[in-house]
Amino acid sequence: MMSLVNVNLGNVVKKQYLFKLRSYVGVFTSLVVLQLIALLFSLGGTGGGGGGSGNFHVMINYYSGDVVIIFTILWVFINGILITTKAYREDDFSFVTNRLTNNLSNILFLLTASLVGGVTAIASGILLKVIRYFFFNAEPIITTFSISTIEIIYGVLATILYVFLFGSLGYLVGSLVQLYKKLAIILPVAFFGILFALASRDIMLVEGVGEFYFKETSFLLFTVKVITTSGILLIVSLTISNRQEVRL
Amino acid sequence: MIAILPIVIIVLILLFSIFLNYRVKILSGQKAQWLLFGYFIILVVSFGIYLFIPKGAPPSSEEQYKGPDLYLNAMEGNVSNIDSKYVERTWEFPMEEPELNVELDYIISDGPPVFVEEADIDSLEVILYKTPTIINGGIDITDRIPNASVQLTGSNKLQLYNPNPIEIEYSGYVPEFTLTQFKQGVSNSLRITGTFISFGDQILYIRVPQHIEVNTDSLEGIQFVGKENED
Repeated sequence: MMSLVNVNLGNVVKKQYLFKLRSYVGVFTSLVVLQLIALLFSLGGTGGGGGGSGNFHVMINYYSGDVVIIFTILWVFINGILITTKAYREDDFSFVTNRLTNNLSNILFLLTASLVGGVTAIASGILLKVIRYFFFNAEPIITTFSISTIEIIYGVLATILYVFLFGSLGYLVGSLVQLYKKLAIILPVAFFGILFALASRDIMLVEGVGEFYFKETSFLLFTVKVITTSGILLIVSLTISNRQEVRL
Repeated sequence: MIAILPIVIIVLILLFSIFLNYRVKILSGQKAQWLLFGYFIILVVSFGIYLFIPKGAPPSSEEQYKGPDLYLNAMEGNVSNIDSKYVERTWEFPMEEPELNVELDYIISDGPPVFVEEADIDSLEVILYKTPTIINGGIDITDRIPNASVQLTGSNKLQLYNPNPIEIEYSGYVPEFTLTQFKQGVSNSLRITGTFISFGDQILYIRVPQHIEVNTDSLEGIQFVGKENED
């Protein structure tokens, strides 16, 4: 049956996106659980150092919210994969939809998840410091660097961008797996296999790729790199997704 | 890199087990929303509290503390050059015997160096000099460091004590890697070593009346100011 109602792409995407925000609330509760687990890990400290003379020894234990950020990145990566799975896709067909609106609403959802994940990851780092201060060691905090307001803003934005980058990567992996299910096994095996094989020849693949983003000291260049990479990953995902059979 | 792979794999498995289960509705929609709301409130409140937590200033080479060299001044007999603010404590004992036996209760390398000077005085004086120990040019922990002490037992046995070492713990907070990535001159290794401690010193300076003969078994540890060390 044909519909005579003129459906606006923007409206459909918006409706789907809002629906996903409401129905995928589990994605965000899992973020909370994960960040709390990461906080627990971080309470043990990320390193330490010190020194002393004969009658005293000063020990400084260092704490950082790095683990929270890494967990958040893993969280978005896995969720990027999961939202491409059948269980999620079925939800989309409650609406008038096609691959494009589905993908666009997924990307918007990933963006929102990255925004929430990035901001809460940095905020969890602050929570870690407060917990350390009040429950473990009520001494003045030793800060290793002064961070200016602009650096904080860059830092929060960079965290969001990192989270989005890995969300996009997860989305691509998910799309590939949906296209060809056996890739669910082949991809991780190939990834770790190549990693080990190259490492045995002193070629550090992850380090090399990581440096491209993690060692970029210009915020503008970093943003360009991440947005470009994410864009490419998402366009490839969209192309792959369009190759899938049409659901009737 | 290879060394951390097992950890990454374990974490991935852990995460997978959590995430694959999350479609099972452990929390209903309403409860989940309350959990999220509660978490955001905690984060916002902790940010507010964090602003009021006392913080030591970050390291600055300009602020590095430089105190007087106690050892050098004492060895050269120039303790008068040391500002009186570095005198932590003074003991004075009347001397009735013609000789003084000095005993160290610690291994000299583990405690403050000891100097003996003959002076034109009537009683025995022991001065403990102490210079500040400061973390990051701002957090002064000098008062927390235990002092060496002395005791005159009998009429002529001066015992020098060094207290048991104590451990002082501080929490150092390293900004997250995304906060330092765009900061000029901060390498990843610097992120966790950006703290410095200016270590202070202690010395025990003994001034004995000129007519007193000083005996000690700890010849290697005690410096006689203005004399060659006796064998």
